[in-house]
Amino acid sequence: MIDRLIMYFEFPFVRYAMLVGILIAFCSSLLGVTLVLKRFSFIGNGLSNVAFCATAVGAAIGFNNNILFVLPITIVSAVLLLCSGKNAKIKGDASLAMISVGSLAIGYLLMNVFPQSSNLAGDVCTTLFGSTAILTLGQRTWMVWLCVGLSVLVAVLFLLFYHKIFAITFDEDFAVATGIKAKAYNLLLAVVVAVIIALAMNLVGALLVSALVVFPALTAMRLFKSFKSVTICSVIVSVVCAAFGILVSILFDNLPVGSTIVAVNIAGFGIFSLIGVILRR
Amino acid sequence: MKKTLLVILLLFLTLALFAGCSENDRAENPGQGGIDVDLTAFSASMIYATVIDILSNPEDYTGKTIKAAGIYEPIYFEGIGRFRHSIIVEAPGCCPHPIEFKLSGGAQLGDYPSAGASIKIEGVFGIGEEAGFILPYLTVDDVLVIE
Amino acid sequence: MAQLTCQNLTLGYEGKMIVSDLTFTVNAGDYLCIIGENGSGKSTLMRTILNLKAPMSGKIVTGDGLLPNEIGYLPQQTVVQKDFPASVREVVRSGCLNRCGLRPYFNKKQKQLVEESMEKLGITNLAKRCYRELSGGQQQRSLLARALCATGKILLLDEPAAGLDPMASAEMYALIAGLNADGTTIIMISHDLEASRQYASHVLQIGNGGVLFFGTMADWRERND
Repeated sequence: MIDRLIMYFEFPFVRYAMLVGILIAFCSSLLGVTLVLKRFSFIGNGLSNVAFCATAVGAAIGFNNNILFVLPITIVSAVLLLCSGKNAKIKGDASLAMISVGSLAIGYLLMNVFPQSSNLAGDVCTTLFGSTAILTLGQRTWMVWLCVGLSVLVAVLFLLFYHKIFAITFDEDFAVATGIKAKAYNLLLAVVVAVIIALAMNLVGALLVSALVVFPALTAMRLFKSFKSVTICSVIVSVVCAAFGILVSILFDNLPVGSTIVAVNIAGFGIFSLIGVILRR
Repeated sequence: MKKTLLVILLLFLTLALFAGCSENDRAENPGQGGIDVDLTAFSASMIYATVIDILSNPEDYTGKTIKAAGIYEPIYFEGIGRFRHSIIVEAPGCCPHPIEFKLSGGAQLGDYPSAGASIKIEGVFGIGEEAGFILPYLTVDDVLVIE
Repeated sequence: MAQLTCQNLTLGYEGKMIVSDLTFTVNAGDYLCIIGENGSGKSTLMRTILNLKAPMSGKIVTGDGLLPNEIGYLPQQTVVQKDFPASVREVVRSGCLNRCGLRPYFNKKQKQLVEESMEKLGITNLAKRCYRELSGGQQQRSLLARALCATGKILLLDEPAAGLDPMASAEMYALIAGLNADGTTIIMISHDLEASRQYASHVLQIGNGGVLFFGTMADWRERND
């Protein structure tokens, strides 16, 4: 098995897949901690459905380079969802549900009215559940560089604004009351989340992106007690699970990358929960 | 805390460099028996990804020996006015990607199997040009038909 | 000069007025207790003073060298916080954030301030403990330490003893009184009339859409005894 893996890794597209997988896991887990604690766990799903709809719209009106069209729309939705906060007439989870299901329906409708290929079901399935797209980055090396750039950016931003992110996650009212520009940081978070989701969706599928955001944070919270340790653990868990998931998925047949990574994350959550229970005895 | 994140950042940058530098270093080690890429030994998703890579970056595979198993199908290509004898490599997901192969040594139509047969081939990959089209293909000594 | 002056404040939501013509002053070192029925506008008033909500009309003037973001705040706890994975030190430290500006880390002075605040509130031994594992009283003390870090000048407290058992409540009020004795101005919303009687220097009673009483504790006692 190891020999096989070594042989597979001679192919650049395998190395790209591993790199991009790890980077996306890194970015989404960093943001996942904040999103989970702000009770926005389903944002991954909502935004990726919007991205799915935007992809369908883009294809329908004949756009070639999808990501340039999908990204701004996703960003705008993220801003609307995350920044309306307490002022929204429709509260957080209801607005998310509406947008989530609505865009899925419209997207599917459009894909049927303006089919892009003879294999409609395949296209839809691919967009929702991901595909082997992560393994065909050899044709799109720009995506790899985009992911690298984005990860560096996210890491730097996180480092710079760590304490402020903590403050607006723990107690936004207090932060605003003591003069922190919470609105600006929320906006920043929204934009970064949107970009990560637009990219991640291409690789693990729209329906599974939430898992990448949510699971590592929840896993880390089983065992760790400070915000700092939860964040670090979340990143490590996410990266390890993604790497392992990708390896397993390329070694064996019939294991789609996206679902395998999520399955590994679930196992990780189970293990950490068990350890947590044992340690508490 | 800052230190830990800095370390992680450095790790990623290193990984990125590693991926970048590897552009020039494709599957160079010849495998067993002189086969560079043995698709018959790959997992399903690797088969699919490798076939896509072969067809998208044919220059990187020129001169390499590739072994594949799949279904034989003669596909008529209007642009060059002839059939391309292709193998459709078994892979999951939609959109099967055919790779053309040519029997060496002045083969006739009758030397090729019947359409739909399960075949295994092994040959050297190359790129040719016909009627202005760049067409990749495998040069194969013979075709093994599996029942 | 008064530290905080509210002039003819009218507060409300979506065009609906809750309380109007609110006028009162707070001087440095005062201990003002705000009382009133539920829905009379106490929390709204507090949020307005903190710039979390704009008043429908009227204005708030800060004086005596008090900068707008030098007001410390102890809000009612949200559900999110009760389950938050954070160490007590991380929570208290976040109070210093307003002094950081764009700087992404806390300097020595601020770390020192954090330690001092925790000591004042008697929670230094809890520094590494997880916030969600603390008792209600301990959590409130952590939040109070956080408010102290934000400022030593004036603290706004919204029902600081809510959900605490009588002993923890009494401890909390004693702590707050101690801070007041040290020179911090206190503005507190509380249902607990007994505690306010014991410690407050001034009373503001809101009801029926306006001010029912504003004056010293002595006057209040006279009126109501």
